[in-house]
Amino acid sequence: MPDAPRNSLPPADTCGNFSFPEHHAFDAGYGLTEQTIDYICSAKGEPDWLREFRKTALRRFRELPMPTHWAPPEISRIDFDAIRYYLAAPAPGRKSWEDVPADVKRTFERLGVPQQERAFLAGVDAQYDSETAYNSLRDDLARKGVIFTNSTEALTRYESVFRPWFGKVIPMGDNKFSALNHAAFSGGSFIYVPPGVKLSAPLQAYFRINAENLGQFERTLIIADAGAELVYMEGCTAPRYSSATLHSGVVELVALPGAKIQYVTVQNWATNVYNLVIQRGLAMEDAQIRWIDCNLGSALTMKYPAVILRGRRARGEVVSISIARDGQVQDTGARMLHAAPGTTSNIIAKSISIGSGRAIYRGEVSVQNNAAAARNHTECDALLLNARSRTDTYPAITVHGDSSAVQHEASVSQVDEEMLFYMQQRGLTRPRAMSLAVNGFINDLVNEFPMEYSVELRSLIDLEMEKSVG
Amino acid sequence: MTTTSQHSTVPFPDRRNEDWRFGAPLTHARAFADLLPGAAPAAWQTDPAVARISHPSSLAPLPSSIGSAALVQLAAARAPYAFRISFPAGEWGCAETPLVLRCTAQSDAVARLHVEVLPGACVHLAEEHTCPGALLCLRFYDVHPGASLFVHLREHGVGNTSRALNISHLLCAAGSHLRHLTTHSTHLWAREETTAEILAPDANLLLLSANRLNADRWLDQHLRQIHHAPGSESLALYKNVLEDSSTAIFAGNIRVLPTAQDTYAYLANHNLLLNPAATAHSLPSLEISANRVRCSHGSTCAPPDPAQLFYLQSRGIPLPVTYSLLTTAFLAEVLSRFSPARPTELL
Repeated sequence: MPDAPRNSLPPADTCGNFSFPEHHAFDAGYGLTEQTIDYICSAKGEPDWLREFRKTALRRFRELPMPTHWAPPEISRIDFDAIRYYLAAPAPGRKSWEDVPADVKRTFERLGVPQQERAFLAGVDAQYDSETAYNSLRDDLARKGVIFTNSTEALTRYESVFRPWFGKVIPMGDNKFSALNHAAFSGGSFIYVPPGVKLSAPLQAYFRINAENLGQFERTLIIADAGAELVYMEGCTAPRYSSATLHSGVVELVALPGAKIQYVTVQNWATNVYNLVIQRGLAMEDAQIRWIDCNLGSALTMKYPAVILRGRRARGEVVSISIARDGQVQDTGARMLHAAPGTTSNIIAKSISIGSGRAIYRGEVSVQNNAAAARNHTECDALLLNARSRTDTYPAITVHGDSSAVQHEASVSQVDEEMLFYMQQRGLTRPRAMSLAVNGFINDLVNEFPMEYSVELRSLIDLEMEKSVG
Repeated sequence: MTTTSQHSTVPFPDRRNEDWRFGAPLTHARAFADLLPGAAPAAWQTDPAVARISHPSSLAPLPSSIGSAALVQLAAARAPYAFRISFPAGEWGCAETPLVLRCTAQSDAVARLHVEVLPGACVHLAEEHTCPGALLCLRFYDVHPGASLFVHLREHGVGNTSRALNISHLLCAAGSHLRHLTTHSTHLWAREETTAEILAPDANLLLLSANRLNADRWLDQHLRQIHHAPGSESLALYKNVLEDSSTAIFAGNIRVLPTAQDTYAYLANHNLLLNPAATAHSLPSLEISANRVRCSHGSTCAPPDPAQLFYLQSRGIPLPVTYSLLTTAFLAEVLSRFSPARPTELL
């Protein structure tokens, strides 16, 4: 798996609590109706089949129930009629930062995106509200046949590659929010890596919500052809408004035989954002899919990266860190579906609950009848920092047959007082001691992130400890 | 509204209910509901010493905390009186010769049991249920402060179509000890819903189950360990050996309320699969709302270790005997926690 080059960069504003005045050429208004879909299709210049596709999805969205029988109660606060479903600039998808509108460019400069692109990235897709504002790919990779664009351009320029897999890993009727995304999707990345091409530097997408009451429904499809390898990193921020914002994305990964995909997410949405994302990968023979997931922000996150291990000896892995602060609910986890012999999977999830934060691990490991000699290991650990903190763990394991082995373990505890006393006795303040203890708790997982992200993550944790411990 | 008609307003288990996620819960629940109007109250037999202190009681039905409210209501309608025993202070039975509490029925039946273990009492009970049809049993064990209770529930099915549904509620008061073991054999379908609550500090709770399933038998176990008070301990260890096309479901939950600081709770479910057609579902879960706790759970589903199989065979032990030794040892861990002196006799 390719590693990101190690360079030092100026500090970026990773919290992103700032905004610029809205200057949208296209505004579909509030609520999602058939008229909204007509507006989106017309604004994007989409073909008729896609218009019908979206309307079918809208009908499905209306039919499917909200998952209130198992989801956190906060999900009931989403008011779909108070969301704006499409806001876009006149000509999205610039190839040069100089052509990007001034406010948009300043936004991403403040977030550090152009600097990262110059320092170590193979390509960048920067989404501002509903559309891509900037997209670039290194020339040498484009010459090798790598495609890195947004979903709109994928449907028009690369339909023969995009459409066969579009909606196949996560079908329209999978759940209510996949139907919503199928109806209202805009932006997101499409990546295709040809057979045998191994990207030595990561591709990055950055999702930025600027407008109030916006719903962002990005649609990402990554296809790694046989023997291909890539690392994809995703960051997301939004300013904090008093009203709710909805981010409901769909991410589909397809790793064809022998391919490797590593998908890294650092989510730091503002605390008014409802972040409901469906992430699923399909791993064929000898392929590997790795989800590395960090959730720091949002009011409610519901995200369960999944891998369907379809081919022999396929491997899936999820590494997850969640931090739930006051008033936040981080409902995250992983799903591994073993559907072929010799498949292996590994899930490691760590969560920290601070103040009244609630961290939930929700996982599924399923070994089907035809998945002989499958192996899974799941480990989830939770740290509770305050008496008001809460953590829940809901794994579900199903094993058919006598040749596979699945093991699961979970623990909940607080930071050891003896450890804190030891450090304070050596002259460290209590916040500093707590910060060291918490960083130690997640250290192994943080090291899985590219170095630039891991440094930033540790800094964010230090900041949180200072705020929460005082 | 009568109890019989009350059940019609209470929802039946269904797949959208997390407590009934697998199998065909509505089919089995409705089958029970269809049988219950014709079911008779089961008969209880016990040792003379216990019979002297037992008496019928028309207690209100248990509130079901795990998904079967409709069945609880129906059962209370069919068996309005519970078999009630209050054990006063003193030793009642011992590990080698526990007191026997036997529930038998000749066809479909409903049984209700209410056992109180008063302060200063130490009780060893062997509870046996035998029924060729469908037996629904509501069980309530109330262990008072400072008391101890060791109870082994053994379920016997007769014939190949018998079914059993046990809904149990266990309460532990301050300083009490409760050791609860269940073993199932030969029922076509059996479901166990156990809610164990620790109401006061310094209680100690050990929940055990060891089962060997074969043919197309189905065992569905649900367990809830609820800590209301600080400074208590609860451990649960459920193990199943699955042969042929049998199926085991385990759904456990440790719930620690904000008032239960300094809790130690552990939950483990281990399944040994011996046949390509066997299936195990395991859903251990945690809901923790206090921070000064040590809570954990573990689950495994796997076949016997090939290295262990080879080791025994390399000593000249035939393969069938090897499997027998390993499966007995697998379950013996559970049984030895209940009765260190005579674990394998308990199966």
